[in-house]
Amino acid sequence: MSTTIFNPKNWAAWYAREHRKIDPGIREIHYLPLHSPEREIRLIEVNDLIVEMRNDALEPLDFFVDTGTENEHVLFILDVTPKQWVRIQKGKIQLPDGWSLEKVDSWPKTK
Amino acid sequence: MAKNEMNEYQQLWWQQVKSDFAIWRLLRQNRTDPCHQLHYLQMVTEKISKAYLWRSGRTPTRTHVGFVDFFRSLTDRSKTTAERTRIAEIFGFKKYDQFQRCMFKLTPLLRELEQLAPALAGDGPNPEYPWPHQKPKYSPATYHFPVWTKLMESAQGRSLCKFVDTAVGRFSEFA
Repeated sequence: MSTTIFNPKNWAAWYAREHRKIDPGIREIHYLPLHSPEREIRLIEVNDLIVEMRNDALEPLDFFVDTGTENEHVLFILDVTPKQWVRIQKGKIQLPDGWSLEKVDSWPKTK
Repeated sequence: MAKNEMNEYQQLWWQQVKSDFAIWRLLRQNRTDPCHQLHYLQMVTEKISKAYLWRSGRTPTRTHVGFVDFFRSLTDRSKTTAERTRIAEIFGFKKYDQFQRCMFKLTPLLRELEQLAPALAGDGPNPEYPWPHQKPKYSPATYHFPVWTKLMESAQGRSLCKFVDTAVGRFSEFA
């Protein structure tokens, strides 16, 4: 992977691949690039093995990656159940501030 | 920050993890009711995960953090072959892909364990208080937790306990 130019989409694809190698519950992963700062990667991971938190609270978890290097960035992961994902797409659950489903990129790729 | 050098926040969290872990071992040795063993195991896995995420020097944004998040963060950081091999060897694997496959097998059990946490248990089985809250029907002390059977009687369970043991004991080598 190139370390000279930071390409968030490539990183998102890499994370999507690696996370699915360790978590059999992941059904799909969605990358949300719109309005996100240059060095921030936002993922929604739809997972069969998790449960919903009380009050439908959506709390992404942040991972600060490669701090102090050329590839320094923040990875935000929002884990949701399949039912929550349906509600999110219908606008019935609000995403974190500034998060948007426009121009989303997803894995696995559907034909 | 030098490689594997813990910051002050991680030091504090690791101190607490080691203390909780020592209690868990005592509970196991004394064969106390499973609810107490599960409670401490869940706390140890949550706290070691938080201790690891504090390597950024910033408060994790999410209140609940589980061992799967720790796996995820550990693997996300491991970009070079040398680093991947080093991490895998710490956990007893010769190759990184073996380590990943093991995590893949452990994740479902870890998800069950983390669902005992207060933030996720809701009005259901948990290791601390009778439930449901309004009209309790079950007590943790007498409840048969399916995750307990899996932890004690399966290869994944034994592997998970070994993982936790390593994560706590060798934390300074990868923190």
